[in-house]
Amino acid sequence: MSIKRFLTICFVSTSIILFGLSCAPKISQSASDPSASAHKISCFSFPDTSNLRFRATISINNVQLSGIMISNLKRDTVTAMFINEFGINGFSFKTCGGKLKFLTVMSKLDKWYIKRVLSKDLAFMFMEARVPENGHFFMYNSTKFQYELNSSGTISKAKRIPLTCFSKDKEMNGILENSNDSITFRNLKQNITYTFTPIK
Amino acid sequence: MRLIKYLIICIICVIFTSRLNAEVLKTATDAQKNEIRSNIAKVSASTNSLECNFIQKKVISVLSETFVSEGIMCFKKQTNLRWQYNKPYKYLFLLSGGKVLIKNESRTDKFDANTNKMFKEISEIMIGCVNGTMLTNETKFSSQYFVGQNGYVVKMTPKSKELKRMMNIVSLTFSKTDWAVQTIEMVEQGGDKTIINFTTKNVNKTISDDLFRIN
Repeated sequence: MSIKRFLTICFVSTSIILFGLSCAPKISQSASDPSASAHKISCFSFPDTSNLRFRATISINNVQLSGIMISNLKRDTVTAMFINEFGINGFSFKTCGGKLKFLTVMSKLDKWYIKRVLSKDLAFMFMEARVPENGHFFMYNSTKFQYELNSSGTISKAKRIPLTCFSKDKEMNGILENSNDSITFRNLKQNITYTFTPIK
Repeated sequence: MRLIKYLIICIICVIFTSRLNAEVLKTATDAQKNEIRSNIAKVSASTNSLECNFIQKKVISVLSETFVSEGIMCFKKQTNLRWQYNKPYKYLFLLSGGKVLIKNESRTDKFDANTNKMFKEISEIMIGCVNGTMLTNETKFSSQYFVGQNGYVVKMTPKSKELKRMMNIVSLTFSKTDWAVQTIEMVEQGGDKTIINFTTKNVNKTISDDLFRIN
């Protein structure tokens, strides 16, 4: 009797895990399916040859990191570096298809939990997503993004909503606003605000 | 065959021009080293204030970028420093009486330099670079002295792990005429570097204390 019970519990728990795992890739595939895509959207309008330069601040509660963010887009990969005003490297990264890899990180930020949050936020801000024509949302990395475009085709407003099978919190956890003067992303869960102001 | 000849000529040209561009540095003899140190110490002792413009170039290899910023630097004995960026962004670093003020477009922060280890080190390095006293700081840096065509170069390697993570080597170039710091070059672990050139220097000009006031 107890063996039967044990086997039933094993079967049910394995089924739940397999079901959970099978959901996430399906979400990712729908975003990367080229047949469903009509055009690319991004938060920044990258120039073809030169780098994009921003005055950047990252505010965490009452602490602020300020500096310059320099980035470029080559093929589908964005390479970016955050330096402070004195020229000291804060961090640099490459991001493509929602995945982000840090190239360098200053010692004060070189902690797994900081990099985890930064990589998710920066991957979103520096993404190049393929979306259907006249779409209002897209999904990748188990996350739903609801967006609005401005007249130049870049994202003017976007909301980040978690969409994992096991996620209890299905409310918006990030909001991006792109005005003429600056681009602001607020990570509502960790209370981090990123502000980018173009340097002319 | 023609292509090979052409390639060889190109390679020779590239090597020749790169050698022309690179300044030849000769290792200073013990006598020259002592002369450099004593002259810098003399100038440092007689400099009560210094005001100059600076141009900062940050070379980022991964982005093939040279980011240029400009500003004004004011120094007043003993430890008052105003480091102000005006282009292409506004940023102020003020050090006075053991306190640090940092002001950018959106906010102003104040710190006690003595309670914050990082700020204390940065402040010491900045003032040490400006007045040349960093050369005598043998606990934090090991120094090598060179004689160049345009000036004397002191290459300093940090000893502490913290500083090594930030910079691989700091080079200070001193003028052969007035022994003042002309250039600061900081080379990082990955090869990226920051070069600060000082121009239009005003030595011992009256500088108002208001410029160093941290309220």
